[in-house]
This record gives sequence, structure tokens and C-alpha cells, in this order.
Amino acid sequence: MPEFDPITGRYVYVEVSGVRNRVYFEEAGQGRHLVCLHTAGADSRQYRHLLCDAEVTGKWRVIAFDLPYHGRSLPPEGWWEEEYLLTTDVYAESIMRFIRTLGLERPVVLGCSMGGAIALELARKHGSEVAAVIGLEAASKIEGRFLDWSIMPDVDGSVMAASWTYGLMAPQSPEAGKREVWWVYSQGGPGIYRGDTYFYSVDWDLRGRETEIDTSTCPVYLLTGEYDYACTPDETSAAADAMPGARSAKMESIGHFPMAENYPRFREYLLPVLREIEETSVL
Amino acid sequence: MTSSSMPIFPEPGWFEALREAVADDAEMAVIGRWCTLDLAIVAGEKTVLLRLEGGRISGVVPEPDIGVSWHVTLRGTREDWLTFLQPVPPPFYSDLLAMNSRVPSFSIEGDRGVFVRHLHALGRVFRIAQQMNSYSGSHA
Repeated sequence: MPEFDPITGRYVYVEVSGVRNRVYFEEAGQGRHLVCLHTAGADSRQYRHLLCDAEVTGKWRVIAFDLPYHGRSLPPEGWWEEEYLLTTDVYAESIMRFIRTLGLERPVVLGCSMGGAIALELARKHGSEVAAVIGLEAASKIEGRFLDWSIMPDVDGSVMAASWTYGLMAPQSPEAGKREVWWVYSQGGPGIYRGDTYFYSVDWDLRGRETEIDTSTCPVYLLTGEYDYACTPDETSAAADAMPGARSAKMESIGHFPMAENYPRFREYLLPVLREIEETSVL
Repeated sequence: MTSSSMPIFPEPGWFEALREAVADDAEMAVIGRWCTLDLAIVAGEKTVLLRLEGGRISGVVPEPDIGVSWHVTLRGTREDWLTFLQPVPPPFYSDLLAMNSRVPSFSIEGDRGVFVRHLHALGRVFRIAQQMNSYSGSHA
């Protein structure tokens, strides 16, 4: 008998800002809906370990999708005539349209890095449609990540983006996990990592607006790896402190890509959060 | 070379050990072919120039004089480097870019375009350096 992962993948058409996008997603499990958002310049493969975790998928329908321009979600026609710069509005709309198109009722949203940042934005603007958010490596503002190096003509952007982000991981994380993060990063489209960091580090700024998130409607959980130097645990903690009711924790021996660089370690932090949501959060 | 006899950074013997370890590294043999640059490592008052050619350390020049130039300078205190040069450094000391971002006394200077173009191979060189004190005699 062949050995299969429990993951299935397919495409769905999602209209964003009047443009039809063919969006790829993977899913596994049954139960409450958990929508997973990948990091800048990467794709849903980062969640393959979570999608194969029977302890999670026994209670949750886990869904991870590739944002347009990422992974197997091709960019919409005409992409070659526009500089790719992801904005907060388009990113939030893309996720909410995906959720509505699939008919997911009040899912929990789990996002990492830029996905963690937009999870907070969803809690702020769409809290009634989202049961809870889990933001990994997120804070109110991330400085200094929007750079042009990866699009310079004398720089190999694929290797550069992969190597630039490699050092965000913890030295304790397994070599194979870190190399897999590198591999996925090396496959991003030209300018896409940079364009994503436009959202993450330029366009999005929650400072002074943290109290606009109603954590009684949409609980907020923030988890950050102690080796993340792009978004430090202290910055995450400060964001949580500014959001009444938000919870935060520092993840020991983990860096910027918890679910991909060291899933066994990450799940020690994730599973208690999912259990708490199961027990306390209503659909 | 065993860990007990490992010369201490930034003594010349330490750079010789690094040269051997980089030359023996299987990954550098794959990714290093186009890695050619001159790199100054500044540790407090000491400067050591590393010449890399084709992914190998071809020269080590302690305290280069006014007649010598190079592309990139990695500048930190001796304590910065000793904190970085271990298999499991503490947060913010595990990577050159991390230190440049979060350790005020450490900086990546010079032609940063050269640094970025060689980031993949340089990352490997310094990860080898971090592992050196656990290397066996054959660097296997």
C-alpha cells in the first residue's frame, strides 16, 4: 500500500478587488475550522506538519492556502505590468474572501509573521467573523524588513531571500526543518518576498489602535520565538499589553518560523491554546 | 583538532583551523565556487583580513596595513564574537544579521552589496565557525 499524507489539495476561485484568483489550498481533519496563513514570500507548505498532526486534525479542519502570487496560486493576469506591493486592505480582503468563498463559519485564524500581523488586523476589522486569532511572531509594528536587495540585478533574489531569513531561526531547531524553510523561500517569485514585507514592515501599523480589538469577541493569542530578531518576544509582549485581554508567550528555543522550523517544539505551545479555544470560544 | 586544543578566537591558529574546516566542508564545495571576496573581522582592537577565493580561505592577514583594502568589515567587540562563536549562541547572537540588527556594538560595514551577494556562502562559513569547538580531529 502506498503511504499517503492525510493532506488533500485543490483549487478554488476567489474574487479579490474585482479580480478572479485561482487559489490553492490544502486541508486535513474535521471539526472546527482553523485557517493557516504562511509567512512573507513563502507558501502553505510551511503548515504540512500541523496538517499531519492527528491530535489537531481529530478536532479541527485545518486549512492552509497559498496567497495569490505564492506557491501554487498563480498571480492574476497582468502581474508583469505592476510592482507587487501587498497592502493591508488587499491582504485582509484576500483572506476574508477565501473564508467566505469556502463558507467557513467563524474560523480560528493562525498566522505567522506577516500572517500573524494580518491576524491582528482581522481581529480588529472582522472580529465578528473570526472566532479567535493566533498570531505567531507578531507585534504592533515591525521595523526595517522592507528592503530592495532581493530585486537587485546583481543579486540572486531566490537565494538571497532564503539566506536572509535563515538566520531568523533558532540554532536548536533541527537542521532538516531549517533547510526546508530555506528551500521554500528559495522558490518565491521575484519581488514577492519584498512586496510582502511592504505590508509587514511599511503599510501595517497597529500602534495606538490596539484597543480597537475586542478580545471578548475575538480572543487574541500571541506566541513568539525567543530567537526571532525581526519581531522579538518583548515587542510581542508590548503589543499584548496594549490589547486588554490578549495573551502572549515567549517560545523557548524557537525562531521566526515555529510551525516549519521545529513543529514538535511548537506544538507544545500551540496545543494548549487550541484546547483553550475549544473550551472557551463559541462559534 | 580537539576542542581542548582549539586556539582561541581571534588568535591566528583559530583562523587556520577555520581555513581547514571550510576546505573540508562538503556544502562549501557545492555553494562556494563563486564566493570570492576579502573580509575584515574586527574584534575590539584586533583586525584580521580573510581572503576567500572560490569558497576557500586563501589568506589570513592579521592587522592588515594601509596598503591593503577589502570589501566588507564585520565589526564587534571580542565579547560579541565569543558569544556568537558557539554552537548554540543566545538570542540575537546566533546570526550576523541578527547581531547587526539587535547588538549595538556589532555592525556589517563596507560594501553591503558584496555581503548580500555572498550571504549564502558566508552564512555557511560562519556556521562552520560556530561549530568548530565541537569538531573532531578530522572535521568530519
